[in-house]
Amino acid sequence: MTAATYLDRLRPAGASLRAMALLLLLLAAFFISARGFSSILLLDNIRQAAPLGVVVAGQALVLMMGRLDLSVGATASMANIVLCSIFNSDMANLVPAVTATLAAGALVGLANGIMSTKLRIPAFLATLASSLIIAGLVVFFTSGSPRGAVPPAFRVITEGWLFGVAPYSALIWLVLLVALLLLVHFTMLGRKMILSGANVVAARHSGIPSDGLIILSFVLCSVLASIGGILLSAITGMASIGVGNNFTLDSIAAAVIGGALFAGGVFLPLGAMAGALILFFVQSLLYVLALPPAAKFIVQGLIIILALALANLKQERSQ
Amino acid sequence: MSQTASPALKPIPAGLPRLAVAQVSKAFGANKVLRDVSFSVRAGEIVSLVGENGAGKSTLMHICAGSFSADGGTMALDGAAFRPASPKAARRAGVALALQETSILPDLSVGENLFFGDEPRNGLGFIRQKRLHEAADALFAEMGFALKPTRMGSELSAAERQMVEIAKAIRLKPRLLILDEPTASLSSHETELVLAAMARLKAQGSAVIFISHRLDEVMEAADHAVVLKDGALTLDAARGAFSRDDLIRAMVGRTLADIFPARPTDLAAAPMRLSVANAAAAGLKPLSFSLRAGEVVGFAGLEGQGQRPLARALSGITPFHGGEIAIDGVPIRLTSVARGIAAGIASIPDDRKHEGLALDLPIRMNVSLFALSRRSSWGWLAHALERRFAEQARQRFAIRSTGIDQPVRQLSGGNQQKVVFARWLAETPKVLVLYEPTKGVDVGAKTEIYRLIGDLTKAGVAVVLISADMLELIGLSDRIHVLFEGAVTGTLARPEFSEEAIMRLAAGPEGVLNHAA
Repeated sequence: MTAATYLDRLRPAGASLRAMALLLLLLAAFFISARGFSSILLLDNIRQAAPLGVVVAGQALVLMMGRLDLSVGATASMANIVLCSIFNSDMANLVPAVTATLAAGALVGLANGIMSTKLRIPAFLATLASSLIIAGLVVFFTSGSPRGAVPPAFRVITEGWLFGVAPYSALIWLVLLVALLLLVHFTMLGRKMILSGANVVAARHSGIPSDGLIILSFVLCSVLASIGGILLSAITGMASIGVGNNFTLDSIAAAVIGGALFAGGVFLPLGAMAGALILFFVQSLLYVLALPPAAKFIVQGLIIILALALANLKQERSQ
Repeated sequence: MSQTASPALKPIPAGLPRLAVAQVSKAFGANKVLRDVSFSVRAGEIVSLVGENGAGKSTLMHICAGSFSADGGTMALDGAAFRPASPKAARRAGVALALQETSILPDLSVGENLFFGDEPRNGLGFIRQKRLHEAADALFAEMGFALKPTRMGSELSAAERQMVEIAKAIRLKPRLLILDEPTASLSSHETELVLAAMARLKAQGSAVIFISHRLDEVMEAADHAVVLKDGALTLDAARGAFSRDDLIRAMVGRTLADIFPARPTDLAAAPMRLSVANAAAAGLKPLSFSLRAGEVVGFAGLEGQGQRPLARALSGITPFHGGEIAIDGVPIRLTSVARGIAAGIASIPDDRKHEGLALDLPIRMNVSLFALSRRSSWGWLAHALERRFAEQARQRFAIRSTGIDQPVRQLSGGNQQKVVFARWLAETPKVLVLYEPTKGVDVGAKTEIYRLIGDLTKAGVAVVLISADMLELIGLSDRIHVLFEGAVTGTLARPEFSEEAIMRLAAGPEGVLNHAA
């Protein structure tokens, strides 16, 4: 294969490029409002967007399978509680704390996946139910007043910068995105997931074990939600109820802005990244403009409408 | 043409046709479905409309019945301009359409379905149930249908639903009755009843247009045959002025010998490829049959007589219960699609959009699954191999497209079907299961698919062909098994093949309707 065809294949999908263009516009508005470009300011925003970004990557994976996960917010919140309570401010508890948090996340994903395949419960209802159960369990076990915090040394994953130029949390986000990109677009497993997501009946009739692949996508999504919760905990530093709850709707919005389709069959890592950054920079822009917090929701809503309208216009022209 | 006087108030000139269709055309998007079609039907005449799937027959009839409006051309009913704005308007003008997909409501009785929207009522507006059902009974008696008007819509078989649908249209004593494939799910006995009902309407001075795939029926009943091919009229001839072969040539644009590959005469010495012994499945009674290498065995039957369960069980989607299945003499357990594939079975589904393809993904991803997974089961995806394979498949199967990255949704039905074939034939299978392989496929692609089947049998593939297309079954098969209520009621060898012989077996021991009643 020549280098040209290789590069051509790596060319991002139109939806990803549209999301990137929207992001660039937003960044221009942001830096004009902030009176001048600053790479530190840019990277600092990316650093803070990383927890949401990781959750969006998982949501995009589940959306690719034609499903939806409404429990990512509850899972991230749970991750915060589990992590902080096991850590108990002592760096010696690092391994058990992180392992238990990721395992709890995997368990949620397994339950979601089994409900959505073997029990044939529509994914949005199954994950809505599991998010209620998780939130209930968290309140039950903490009696509503969670204790514990992450040790200061752990907070380096979101506060620290590699060589003083790249925030660790942004690097973690990037590594996870690349890993998912490789999984979905460069392995046979990922190809089977895409075929399954695009048409589950046709995939089954071609001998693809679709149920297992759907369960896998839910497990990965919940583990990524837990990682999002861990990153968020490193920012906030302590246990508190419901810290990640906004992730549920934000992750769906960001994934859709990034070109994900409810119909499934599409996975755009670059788009997912751009979608998360767009949502985050809207917030920062409104902050810089000193607009009331309520404006954030209105603008986010408008952006979703804009993103989908652009995608639909494009589609109509191509038909 | 612009006169508005009601034809009922004015004597109709004797020479005028009941319905005259002139230069009607219709397009859906860029797809031209009808091109300048003109024909006419007179009062007291039966016109048979013939053509392949997708030739535009149903569209034309829907235009006559007011469901669609034509893009161009005119229609006249008894000499008056006829441009129905809705099916209701057409019905009011005396044009009734009985659809192939029936509109029987499951929670109403047969009688209530028959009189739906036009029920006899008492002074308070309540439906007079007794009178309604008596009237229904009288109508069925007149038509010779053995149906109880008090049975519920949900209890009816496909054939019975079709009969009620026809009765619904006939009840209106229309000036023009249009029947869209009325006999597709009917046995020969029921078909006779429908043809008799048509003849009665004709004698009463109605005009009848009926769409049919069964050429025997057309030869028997039609006063006039009109053939459509790719949206254009290719034959318009009166009874006696056309033969079966004329119809076929007008439908497909060439003679049968050019469409179907020549069959080898003697395969008795070929090794046994597939044997199925006493295998049953849901909707399928214990079944035994076998195929030698290179043989094509057809399964015929009316709609819903076990074809679907058979196709699904052979592809491993739903399991066989009991019995023995062997490929090349080796017993296999066909409990999943993956096992079927491993044993060398390739299977083409009837519903390619739903069961065969990921429409929004490119051709490349749709065709390459098996080519790739055989080389790299859970490993890295060989992108270069995929592109090479997809390019080869595009050429080998003549998939007309802009390139291997074009989404499958943008292809025509025939080219989509070739993509399904290309996926499954990445490697030559031992057994190929075809379920309605040319449904909704144009003639060109059909011929290519038939040639492909011929080539595969030469390479020793055993082909199971489950189809409702009589021409296809007769043209391709070495042997035809006929299914009735999930069991094989008879087997025909090549010299015995005829539509009539198949239909006789397809009706079962006594005919579906008698059997069910």
